[in-house]
Amino acid sequence: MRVENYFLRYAFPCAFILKQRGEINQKKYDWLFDIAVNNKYIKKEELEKIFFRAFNYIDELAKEKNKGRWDFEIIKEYFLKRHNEIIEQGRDMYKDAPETLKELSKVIEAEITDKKEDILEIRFNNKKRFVSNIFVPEAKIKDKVRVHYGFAVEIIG
Amino acid sequence: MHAVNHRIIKKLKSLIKMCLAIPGKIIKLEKGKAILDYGTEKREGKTMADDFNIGDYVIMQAGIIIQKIPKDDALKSLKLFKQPDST
Repeated sequence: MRVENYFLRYAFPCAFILKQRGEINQKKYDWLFDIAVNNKYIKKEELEKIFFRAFNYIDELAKEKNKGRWDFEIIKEYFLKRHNEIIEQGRDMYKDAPETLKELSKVIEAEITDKKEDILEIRFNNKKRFVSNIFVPEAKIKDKVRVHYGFAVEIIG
Repeated sequence: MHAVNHRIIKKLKSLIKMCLAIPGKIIKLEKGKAILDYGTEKREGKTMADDFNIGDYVIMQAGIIIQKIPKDDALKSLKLFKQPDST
């Protein structure tokens, strides 16, 4: 998978929120959705423009590691580690955000406990959440998945 | 000086607006679906379980009701969104 597509899969749940907030319109959202689901080509500049907030943090990480912002390892480390640390530290808006909302923003690892059509029931820390299987249509009950908000992003282990 | 301040303020404002979802309130429940009230609009979402009740605050994504949010947390986040610089 291209680094741009890996980035978009993890960032896509935020596109949904950008749409809710009126920062992007339905057309742009649908366009991003098609690219994310079908792994289509997208320019780095487009992603940098839409998800510019993430790149404030990605650049911090890249600088620390002396690598570029689009280095695969940097993007991976950002979504799998740094992103949650930022939320836990309560940086920026997360400072005043309620715990449940902060938890939803984190990238978590969870087990699939049920499946019905395109919805997966997942459990983590004794909590239940229902997420879309659109990025992992092959995922089945008992599989472990990485989840961001309402999307199972990838199957692990 | 003014331009610099303007740039800093703009950056701070942009950082305030992070990825936090907006909760909706369930106002109608039918088998496998729910109607959510967002104040300005109403939207329909799919539900998989019977864990949800009318009056619950929930987060919906991709047309799926993903999780219930405690009322206090929901009201707090709705208040955050209503702040002039965060919407």
